Amino acid sequence: MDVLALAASILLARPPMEAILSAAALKPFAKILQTLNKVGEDLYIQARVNKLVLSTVNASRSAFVLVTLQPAFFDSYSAKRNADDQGPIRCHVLLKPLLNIFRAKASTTTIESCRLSLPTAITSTATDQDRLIITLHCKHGITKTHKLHYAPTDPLTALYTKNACRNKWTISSKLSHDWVNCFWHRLEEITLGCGRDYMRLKSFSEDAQAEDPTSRSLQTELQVDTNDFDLFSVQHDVHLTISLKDFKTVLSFADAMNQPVSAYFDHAGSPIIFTITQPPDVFTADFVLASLRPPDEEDDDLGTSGGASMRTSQQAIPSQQYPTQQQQSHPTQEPDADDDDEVLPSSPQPQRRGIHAPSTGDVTHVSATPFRDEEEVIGPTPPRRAYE
Amino acid sequence: MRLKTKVINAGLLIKMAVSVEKMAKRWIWHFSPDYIHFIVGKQDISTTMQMFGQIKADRMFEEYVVESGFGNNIWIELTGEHLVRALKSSQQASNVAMRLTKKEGLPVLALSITNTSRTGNCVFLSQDIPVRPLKWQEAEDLKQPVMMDYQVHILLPPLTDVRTIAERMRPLGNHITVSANMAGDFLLKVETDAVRVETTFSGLVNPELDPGHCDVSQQPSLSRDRQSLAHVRVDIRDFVKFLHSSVINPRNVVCCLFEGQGLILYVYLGEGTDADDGAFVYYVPMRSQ
Repeated sequence: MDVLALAASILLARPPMEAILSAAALKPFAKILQTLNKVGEDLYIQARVNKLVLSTVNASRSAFVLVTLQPAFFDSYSAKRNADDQGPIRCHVLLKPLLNIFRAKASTTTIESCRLSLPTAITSTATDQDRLIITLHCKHGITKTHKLHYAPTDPLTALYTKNACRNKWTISSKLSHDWVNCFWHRLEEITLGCGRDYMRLKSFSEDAQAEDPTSRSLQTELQVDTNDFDLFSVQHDVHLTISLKDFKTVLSFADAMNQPVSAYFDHAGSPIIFTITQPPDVFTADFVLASLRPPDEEDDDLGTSGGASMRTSQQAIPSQQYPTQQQQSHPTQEPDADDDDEVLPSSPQPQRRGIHAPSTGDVTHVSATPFRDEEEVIGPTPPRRAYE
Repeated sequence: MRLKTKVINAGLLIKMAVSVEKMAKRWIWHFSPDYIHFIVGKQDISTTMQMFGQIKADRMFEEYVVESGFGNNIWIELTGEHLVRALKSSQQASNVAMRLTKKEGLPVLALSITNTSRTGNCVFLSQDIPVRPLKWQEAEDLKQPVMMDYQVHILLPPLTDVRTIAERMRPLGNHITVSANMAGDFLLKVETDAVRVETTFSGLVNPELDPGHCDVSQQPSLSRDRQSLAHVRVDIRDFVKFLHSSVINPRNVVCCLFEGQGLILYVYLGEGTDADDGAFVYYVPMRSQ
């Protein structure tokens, strides 16, 4: 009995999540945190059994970042299932205190290794509960321990599927990171115009028509040779307008990680996904950015997430999860052109794509918000989703 | 009106644009058949600092065409930040073409830039700078003020040195007194109730005057007692602004002192004092006690 109790306590003594980072991994880790902080304030952590998932979303919910750190990123990584629901452990912390801990300059020189852990109620003292513990083993025998309070909330995630995007390209970060410098730094939005054999970046501004020249901004257009791309597969003309600041964040992250950047997109108004990954299986960062709905779309489909489903019926792509499909159809079903917006299956589908919010008037300020609370009850929903 | 040209010396144009941008957010670009001018300010110099820059068009442009109903002069007002950003993206370009045109009904200065990416492929870039063409009446006000008969003229020490000193003096007071004589001495002084700081540069050159520009026999600076100092008191912020603005060639700067009126500073961009290679003239008004 004693031996069993001892064994049980040893097993339980291992924290539900433990990750150890070597000194070399600290710099990319710090960079990932910095980049997440450029987008949102909170860090959502999902400690899955086989990977660590970090994500954040911005305040207007028009940008979402998901970083998957595989075990190869760490010296060691282990995570147990959540005792309550057998799902991954989930919590969220503020990014700012984390950034202070992992400030890039200090970390590369003084820290030798770092341990992240989420303790359980059994193994920890009262003060350790609900805390993310970061232990830094530094030079000269110094150990710094930080305990960050976390809240075990359910994270907001964007559900998206890259495979269903009809268009994609990949380019080396060395070529792409220069693009943004040509543009006026206070510009808010940029339009990516792609076709079968062209790729253009154009400044987007609504004040171009203003009479007062002092309020008009610099208009820039950059045409990139498609031969510069490692991969360029665009089926039709697409013009996507996205936030310049977020686009810059993506490109500078790719440059910092020295990895190519890939883009997956379909049509204007639907989100574009930028992916940076370190092969073979070290980390993957997905940036899901909402795009403006083009002004020539009808504004009176307020009662529907209409544009999407109408397009679906026109395209009629068989046995493929169309990315903007409003209905949640089972992956093996074909998108049904007659599907009503209200009809939804009873089981939640993991690959559901974004939702269009209706645009208001002539101003195309509305971004497609591809977000859905993960724990939201799936059932008949009203056809129009209120824009948050 | 028509303006079309190829830009051959983008680097120099960028430096000039940066200098002007440090003086004011919006300024005027004047194109004439032989010269191009940069203008900040108006004719009344008694209250505000002004700057006039000029360079011979062929130092910067090729295949230059300027046509208008005003003797082929065109004046446009623009925001310096836009021009600098547009030009900076053309630094490594193989070809830069500029023309005045209308996009969506509004006047812009359109630059078409051809860059080469690392892979050797061409990257085409177009930058449209929103501009406002000036009417003839507005342009008439923009002549350089005529100031003659200065008491002293002297070639300044390297501006980087002057800048270090002046920036240190800046927190001490609102005004700085600039003094110089025809024997190569140049002084900067800040004086308040609490403190007096003075820096002297000696052994400087008083340049010879070009007889083609003025009647040498009439110049008071030449008939003056060489050791006698002339003093001009100016706003220290104006002086520091001038120092920040003249980033291009801090070696050839001539300072002319007009007691009772102000300072005129000539910054020459070329090797000598030939204004054709580019020159900026700064008018800094005097501030009385």
